[in-house]
Order: sequence, then structure tokens, then C-alpha cells
Amino acid sequence: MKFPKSPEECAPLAASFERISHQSVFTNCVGALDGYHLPIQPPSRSYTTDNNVRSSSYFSSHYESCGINIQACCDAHCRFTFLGIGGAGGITKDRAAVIDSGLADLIEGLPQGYICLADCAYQPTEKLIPLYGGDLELKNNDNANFNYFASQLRIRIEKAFALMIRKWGILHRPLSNDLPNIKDLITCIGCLHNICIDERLKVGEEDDVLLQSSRCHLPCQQLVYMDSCAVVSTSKNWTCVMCLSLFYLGLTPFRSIPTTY
Amino acid sequence: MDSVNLLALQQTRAATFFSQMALAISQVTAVFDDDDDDDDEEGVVVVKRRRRDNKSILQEEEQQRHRWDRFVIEHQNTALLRRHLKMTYDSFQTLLELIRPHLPTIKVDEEMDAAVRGGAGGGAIIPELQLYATIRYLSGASYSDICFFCCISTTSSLYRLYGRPSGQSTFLLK
Repeated sequence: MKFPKSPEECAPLAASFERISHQSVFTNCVGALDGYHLPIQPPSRSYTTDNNVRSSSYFSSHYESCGINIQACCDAHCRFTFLGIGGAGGITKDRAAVIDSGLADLIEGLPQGYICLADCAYQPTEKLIPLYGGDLELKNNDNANFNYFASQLRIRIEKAFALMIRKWGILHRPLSNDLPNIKDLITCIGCLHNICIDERLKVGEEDDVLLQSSRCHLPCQQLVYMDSCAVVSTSKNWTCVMCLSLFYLGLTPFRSIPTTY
Repeated sequence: MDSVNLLALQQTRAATFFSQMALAISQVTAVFDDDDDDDDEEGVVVVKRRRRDNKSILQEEEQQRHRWDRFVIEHQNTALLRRHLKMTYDSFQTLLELIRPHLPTIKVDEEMDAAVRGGAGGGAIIPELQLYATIRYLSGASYSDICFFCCISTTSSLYRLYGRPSGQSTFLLK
């Protein structure tokens, strides 16, 4: 797990993000950023009296459970480049947690011209670009377009969390470990997660469905992407949505189109 | 009348069951009797000895350390090993070489360890087994499961996972 610092480290990360970006819109993104509420058992009183943090401040009313705020940053293959503890789950918000976990300093130390993407809970800075949230997206057509392209890259961090939690089943239920051990445990799980993905990339299993594209097998021959407007049939023939809807309307001369799944 | 017949049937079934049990027990104990050197002993003493023998055999079969090398050779080409380790065996080994200097190991005499390993219960907890137990723990197994299939005692498994308990520890967020 290594956060990029030099331009040499940033270039391959940006290139891999450029591959999944539609029409290569983002060429300088090196990471996607998000927070995660890690559920834990209510911590014991002995850990919480030392600081200003009380036992009750671990309770998040939004998630209705006690937890810890985890800040993470990942690359285009869902490998974590940073994983740290932001603070107690109840009182710490994402824009404070990113500073507390030390990730903000790392992002400010990025070379000139490289950025990280995050969701709309974060404070926008020069290197940390959040998406437009709420009414801002609807206000302007450009904002909506930006969100469309940025979400393609930002989805990677959500995917990484889901992969980690599904694979390492200790995270399925609230962690009952001592609070001082949780930081090591999370770091350990993140490293193992990276190793598993490295291995899968080495074997060459292409799990990036978004990267797959093909021509529509009907005469329209349109280039279809898996993410936006493609339907894959059982016989590996790709059909674009337009041809499919024309078929169901009875406007195409074809008798049958392979069934979709 | 039917109920009486049913009762009689149940009684006969129970009787046959108990007779079969008694036969089986006598067969099992006959084996232990053969193992005994001294045949000329009183009944009470023989019963005590039987119990002790029985217990020792159970220990030999159940309380043996997880034999890692045998486990790997058996399952190297099957999907089971990969599912248990969550990765291929090659990357497991590379990971182990990375963290081997940091693992807590007790220096043991190898001949002694091999001799103990063949017998009941003993053997050092090798680093492979430590990493295997850790991966199983992180992928959701509980302590009792790990202690069962790795055949580690409860206290030593807790030490492997957490380290030995020190005094009061303080939690600082940063």
C-alpha cells in the first residue's frame, strides 16, 4: 500500500484511470477517495476517557450503529493506495476525517497537475475534486456532464470497499476487537486485498466489465460499451439497446434476437 | 390392545439395541484387553485401566497438530487450498517470505520437534500455520473454529492473534 508522491509513480496510475474513463476524458486522476463507516462493538469506557472522545461519540445515528470512520483511496484496479482511520464514527464527518487521517497532506503533496476524485461530502481543494451534489447537479448541464464522467472513476472506491468486505468475512458483522488493534487489522486486510487483486491481474482475468466494448452484431454495427448501452446475449453476441427496442416494436426484419440476461 | 403391542415392540427393539451396544462395547474393550500385559488382575483395576487406555487413544487421534505439509500435498492441485487461503499457494508463499522475519517463532530443536509432531498433541506452531490461521480468522472464522481445525490450544491461538496481553493500553486516534 503506497500513496504516489513522485511524478513517476503517478503516471501509471493516471494511465490506468484513463483507460476506464469514457473517451479518455480524465487524464490526470490518480485516485478515488471515500469514507466508510466500519461497524464495531461499542468500545469500552477505558479507551474513551483519555480523550475528549466519549463512548457515545462512536454511535452514528445515520448508520444506527457504533463505528469508526475509515478513509481510503484506491487506484483504477480497486487496489488501496491509502487506508487510515479518520476518527470516531458518530461525530467525525468526512471532510474532517480526511484531514485527521493524514490523507489530506498526502493529496496536497501530489505533483503538479494530478488530482483525486471524491464524492460531494468533501471540501474542494486544488488537488481534491469532489463531485457536484444535490441541486448543483441539476442547476447546470455542464455539472451533470462532469458528474457522469467523474462517477465512472469514483465508482472504483465503492467497488473496492465491496470487494474487501465480501472477501474478508470478519467485516460482515461488527468488529469485537480492541480499539488499538483495529488500525492494524484494517491495514492488514487492505494489504491482503491488494495481494489478491495483484494475483488476479497477473493471471490475466479481465474483471473490468467497463473496459469491454464490441460492435453490435446487428447491421447497425454501433460501438457499444458494457456500462452504458449494451446488452449481452447468451451467445456472446452484443446488441445495442436501440436495435433491441426496435425489435420489440416490430420495426426490424429480424425474426429473433438471442435472449438477454 | 394395540398400545400394549406397541409397547412390547418398543421394549423388544430397545432390548435388541442394548444388546447390540453391549456387543460393540465388549468388542471394543476386547481390543484393549489384548493390549494389556497383565491378565491376572482384579476387575476394578481392569476397569480403571480400560478407561485410561480409551482416553489416551482419543487423545492420539484428536489432539494432533494440524499437519501443514501433508495438508498442502493433499490439496495442492485442488480448488480447496485456494479457497481456504483466498489466494494461490505461490502468492501465499511469497507473502510468507515477506513477513517471516516479523513472526513470533520459538527456536526449537528440529529433531525433537519432529519426534513430538509424530506423537500426540505436540509440535511447534510453524509460521505457515500462523499465517493460515490468521487468514482464516480475517475471512470470518471464529476462534473456536480455528482452534478446532488447526488443532491449536485456545490460549496459544489468542496469543498468535493478539500478542501477549500487556498492561493498560491507551487508544490515541492519530
